[in-house]
Amino acid sequence: MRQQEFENLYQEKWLAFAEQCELLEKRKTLDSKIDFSANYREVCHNLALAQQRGFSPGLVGRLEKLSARGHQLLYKNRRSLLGRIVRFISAGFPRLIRKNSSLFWLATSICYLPALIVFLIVWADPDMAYSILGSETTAQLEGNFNPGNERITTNRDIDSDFYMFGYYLWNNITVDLRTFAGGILAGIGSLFILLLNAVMLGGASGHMLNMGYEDTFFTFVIAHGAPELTGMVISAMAGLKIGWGLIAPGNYSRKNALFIRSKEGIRLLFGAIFLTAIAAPIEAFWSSIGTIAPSVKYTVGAISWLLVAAYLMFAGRQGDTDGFK
Amino acid sequence: MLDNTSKVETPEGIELPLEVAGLVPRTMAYLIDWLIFIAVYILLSLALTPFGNFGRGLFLILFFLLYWLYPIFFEVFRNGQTPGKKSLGLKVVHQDGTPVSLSASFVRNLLLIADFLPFFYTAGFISMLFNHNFKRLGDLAAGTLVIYTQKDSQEDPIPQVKPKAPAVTLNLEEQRSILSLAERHQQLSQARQQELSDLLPEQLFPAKTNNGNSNNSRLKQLHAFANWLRGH
Repeated sequence: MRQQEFENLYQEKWLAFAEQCELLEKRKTLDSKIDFSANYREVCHNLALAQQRGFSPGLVGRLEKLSARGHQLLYKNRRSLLGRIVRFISAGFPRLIRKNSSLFWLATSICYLPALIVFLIVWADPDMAYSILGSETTAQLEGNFNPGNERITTNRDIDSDFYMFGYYLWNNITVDLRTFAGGILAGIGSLFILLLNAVMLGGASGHMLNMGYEDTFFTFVIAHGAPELTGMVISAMAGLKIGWGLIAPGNYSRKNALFIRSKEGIRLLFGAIFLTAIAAPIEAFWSSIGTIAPSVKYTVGAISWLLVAAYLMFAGRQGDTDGFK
Repeated sequence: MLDNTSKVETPEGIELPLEVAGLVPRTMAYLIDWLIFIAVYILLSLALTPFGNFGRGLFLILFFLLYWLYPIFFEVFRNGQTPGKKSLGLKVVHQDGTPVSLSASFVRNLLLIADFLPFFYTAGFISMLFNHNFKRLGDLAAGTLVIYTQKDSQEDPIPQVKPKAPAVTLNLEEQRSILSLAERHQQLSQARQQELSDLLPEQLFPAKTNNGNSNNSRLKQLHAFANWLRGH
C-alpha cells in the first residue's frame, strides 16, 4: 500500500482519535461506546507500519504526536488522591515501617543513643550544657521553661497559639524534608541533621533537669514528642534509604539503585510528614497550656507514645503481605 | 549523531521520541517560576501580616505550602508544567514517557536542595552536563525527564506535480529523504532546496531531461518523485 492510500484509509480514524484526545485533555468523559484504548492501539499500529514502510517523515511525525498524546492519557493515574492518602495512612505506611524494621531501629538508635549519652554528660557535668548547646540556646531554654515565667502560669491567647502552630508546621516539616534530601549525599546529610537534633534533645533535657525545670520542660515535650521525634527518625530513615542505595547498590547500577530506593524513600518521607503534621497542633494547642497538672500531661504524653507505637506496630496488619507478621 | 531525542519503547511496541530539554531553557523556566514565587510571597506577606499573630501564623502555613508545593502542584495536576515551564513549552514526564506521579514530583523537587550544593546549583549543573538526558540529581532519583511539549505544526501538503518514477530504485532511507524535502518546501528557502538537490547524483534523474536542465527543474523532478512515492 502506498502512502496516499494508507492516509485515505485511516485519515478519519486519526481525526476522530485526535478529537477524543482533546476531550480527555479537557477532563471530559468520552461516550461509553468509544473504546479509547483500542483506538490508541490502532494508532500505534499505524505508526509502526508507517515507520517500517518508510512513509514520509511528515506522516510519521504526525502519528508519533498522536500516539504520544494517547500514551499520556492512557497511562495517567486516575485513582483519587484522597483515597490514596487514606489507604497509605491507614495501612501502607505502617506496613512500610514494619517491612524496613531494621532500618527503623537503626535510625532510632542513631537518634536516641547519642541523645542519652549527651543527656548523661550534661547531667554529670552541668557546665557542659553551655559548651554543647551554646550560651544563647541555654539562655533561651532557661527563659522559656522557668516555672516562674508568666507564659507558663497564664495561658496564651489563641492567636499566638495559631502563630506557633504555623511556625511548628513550617519549621518541623522543613527539617524532615531537608533530612530526606540530605540522604543523597550517601546518607551523610540525613545522619548529620538527625545527630544534631539528637544532641540538642539530650543536652536540653539534661540542662533542664539540672536547673530543676524538669516539670515545665518534660510536660511540654512529652505529648507532641511522640509523633514529632518519630517523624524525625523516619525522615532520616528515608534519607538513609536512598543514601544506602548509593553506598551499596547491590545488583543495580548506582543510578538505578538511587531511582529504586527513592521510590520507597519518598513514601517513608510522606509518613514522616504525616506524623510531624500531627505533632504541630498538639505542640501549639495542648503542650503550650501551662495550667494543667503535670500528672495529667504525663498521662496524656504516655498515651500519645503508646498510640504512635500501636499505630506503627498494628495498623494495616490485615492483608499485609510484606511486613512482619 | 548529535541528538536530544530520547526514544522510549511503549508496551504497544512503538518507539515514542521525547525531545529532552537542556540547561538553558530549564534555567529560564526556573527563573520565571522563581519570580512568580517572589511575587506571590510579597503579596501574601502584605496581605496577611497586618492581622496580628493569627495572620502571621497563616502566612507561615501558606508560605510553607507555596515554598514546597508550588512546583509539585503544577507538575502533578497541570500536565507536568509549572507556569515557567509552560511559558517555555517544557513539561516533566517519567523516563518512560508517562505523566509524572506525585511521588516522583516530590522526589525531584525536594532534591533541588541537593542540586543546589555546594553553591548556586553547581551539583545540578554538573549532573546535567554529564547526563545525556540532561538529568539533574533530582531527575536521576525520581526517574524523570524534562521534555519539550510537542507543538502542533501545520502540515504543508507536498507540491502537486505529475508523478514520475526515479531512474534508479531507492532504498527506504533515500525515499524518506526525498519525501522530507518535498514536505519542507515551504520551510526551506528556494536556494537551499536547489543546493540540496544539487548534491544528488546524476543517475537519479532520467537521462533525457538531464540535458541542460536548470536546478529548478531538478527540484521539480524531485517533487515528481515524491508524488510518485506517495502514490498519487
